[in-house]
Amino acid sequence: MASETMVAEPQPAERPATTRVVEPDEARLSYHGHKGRLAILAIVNLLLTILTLGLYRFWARTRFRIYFWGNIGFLGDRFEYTGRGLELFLGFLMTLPVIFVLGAAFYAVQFFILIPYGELYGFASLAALAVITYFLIGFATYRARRYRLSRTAWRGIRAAQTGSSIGYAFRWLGFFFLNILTLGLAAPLATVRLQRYAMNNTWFGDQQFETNYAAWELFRKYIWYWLFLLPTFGLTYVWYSARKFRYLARNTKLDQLTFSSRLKGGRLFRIFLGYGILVVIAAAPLGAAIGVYVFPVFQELKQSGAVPPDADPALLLLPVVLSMTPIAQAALAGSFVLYVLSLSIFAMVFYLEPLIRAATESIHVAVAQDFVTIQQSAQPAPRRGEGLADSFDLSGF
Amino acid sequence: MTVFAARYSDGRSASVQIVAVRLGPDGLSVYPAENDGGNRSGLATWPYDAIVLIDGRHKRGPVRLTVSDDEDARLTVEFETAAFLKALYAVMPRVKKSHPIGRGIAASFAALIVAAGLFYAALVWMPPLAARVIPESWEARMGEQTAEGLASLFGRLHDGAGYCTNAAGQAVINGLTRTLARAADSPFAYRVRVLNIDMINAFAASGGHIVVFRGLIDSAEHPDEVAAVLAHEIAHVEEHHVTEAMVRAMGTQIVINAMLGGGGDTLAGFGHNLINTGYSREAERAADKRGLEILRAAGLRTHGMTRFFQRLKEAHGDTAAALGIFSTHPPTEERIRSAKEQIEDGNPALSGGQWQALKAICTD
Repeated sequence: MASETMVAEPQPAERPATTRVVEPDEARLSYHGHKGRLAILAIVNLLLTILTLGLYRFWARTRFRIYFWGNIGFLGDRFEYTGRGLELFLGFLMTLPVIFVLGAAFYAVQFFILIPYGELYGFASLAALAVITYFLIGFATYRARRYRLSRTAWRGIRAAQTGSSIGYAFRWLGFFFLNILTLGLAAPLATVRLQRYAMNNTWFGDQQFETNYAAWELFRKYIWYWLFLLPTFGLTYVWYSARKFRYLARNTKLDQLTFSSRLKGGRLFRIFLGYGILVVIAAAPLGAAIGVYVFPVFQELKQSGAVPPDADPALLLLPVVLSMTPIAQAALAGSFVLYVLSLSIFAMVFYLEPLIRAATESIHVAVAQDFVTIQQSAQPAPRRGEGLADSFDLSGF
Repeated sequence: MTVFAARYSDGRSASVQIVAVRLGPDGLSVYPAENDGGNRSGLATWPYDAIVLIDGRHKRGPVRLTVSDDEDARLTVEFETAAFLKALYAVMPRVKKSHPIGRGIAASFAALIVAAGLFYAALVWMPPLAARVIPESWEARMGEQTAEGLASLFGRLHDGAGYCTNAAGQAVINGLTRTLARAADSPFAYRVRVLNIDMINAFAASGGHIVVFRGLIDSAEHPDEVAAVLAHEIAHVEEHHVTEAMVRAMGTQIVINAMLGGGGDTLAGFGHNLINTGYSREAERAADKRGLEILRAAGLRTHGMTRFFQRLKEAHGDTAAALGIFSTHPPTEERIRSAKEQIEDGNPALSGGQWQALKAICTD
């Protein structure tokens, strides 16, 4: 950290009024996370979330963000997340009516359209509702980003996002359909347009980000990955993701700062693979318990004709488990709890953090910059949290 | 007095300067580093009770501070952090924290208490109230929707099976229903239909709509059994069980979803099923009891209830018992027991001729 900064040599003739740090010409983003500390945070967050039947999740998410933001460093100073759990909670409460209306609409379509007017009208209205929902997801994604940026600071200077959530949501929806119609070929176009909209509306202090993304350039890289997408079961997408990240970084600019990334697809793949193996290991005891205790009972039930052969196993699971011996129940419950708990902790420690580390440490910044030119902005920040994004479970961490 | 080296940003620009920090009597003073000896004019002085600790609760990493009357300013101590924190806590034992963990825990538990209250209201308090407030004409319309919907659903599943239309059979079941409804002194206009499906089942929708499956009539050995089932379903309608269950299902679902957010669908469905199962078993018990009262008030024999459940047990056997905890009806054994205790004499529900007509309701 300290090695990246230098104190100005006192030059009597042109000495600045203060001892402002003269930044180096080039710097990397640094990541300072610590697996043990993150694991403890994840366990405490999980326990509190369980104890409050899910309500602590807003504060849990806030603590994760404080951790991740605070461990990303640039030119000797760490980033900072200034949001509060209460803001997320209030934002969520404000959107409950929307969620309720949407839920009620899905319910109502079933009873008042699907049943009386038949499947054609029923499915048409369900499709319309799905489109509205997807639109709202785009809207929520942009709103959530606005909130997160407004709560992001570096050296006390806040980031911000302008632009319209509705405008973003329309693009999001349009590119979604275009992607389906073109079997995914339009993905680079969607990425470029949506990222351009988001980044061009992103601010740090009074400086606005500038982008130079071109869909065609990205498409030329993408087409090869796309061609081998099916034969490799989607694996090429991992390498494309790294390539896309490098492309976007290289073509983004803030004031006199230019970026580049050395993110490698192989590194992303190792993270996915490692996490996948951990998921399998975590699921193994549960799988074994189901194989030994549940499966035979299911087979017996179906053969005896007590339940129809096409019965939904999910509906049968609980009665079957409840009719078992205490030992079998303990084995099942224990392995299930182990699976769920370890997964939510593994996802943080062995998936999310490695990804953040890989992305962060891959970034180089050319600093032809006097940071005095970046001033705090007077733009007001949104007061409440992410709202809809939480309802759609989009906010991630 | 100890001096600490630190990095200071004034919150107006993204530049940073190396400063000297001194913990003096009036507060924490920030000086340009090279100004240390001579010129005493500082960059800032932060009163101790206005200092907010952003980072610095763990040993690794820097200590970051801000001040509540200049929230954009940042002071970062990178070296000798332990000594700095010790010195700071010595002058200000309760340094404010930017994200005190206790506040989040307190707020989420407070929200939990509010949610528990809402859940209790949705579960216990709202459903009977709503069932009383909702006009009977609405209930009838909802019941009509449900009955039609189920008929078309089963129709799709069992190649176009629909309601049986034999006029003589329909007249018999209408008559029997009328006798029972009059005995029950219920405000609803009942409409009973027989669905042409080979399942031993019957259900009541809200507002007087009752659907009996053909399999139930086929398997009945005595008209008193059909009468008992009808009495049971009339009891459901009369006590608004279906409307209550709908309101309860909706209310509890809303509260659970609100608590768990978008991610907890499985869990929400699970908890919701468990709760409503408990309630509907309670409702079945109440309907069994009230059904017997209705049969008695109509002057009919009550043994149909016993016989019918006995056969239900023979048909479904022990697996039904195994599934009992999750099924909406109380265990069959238990229902037979409570019905047996109440056998008394009375009139047969239908004459031989009427019974033949009812059995033929699905033939045209």
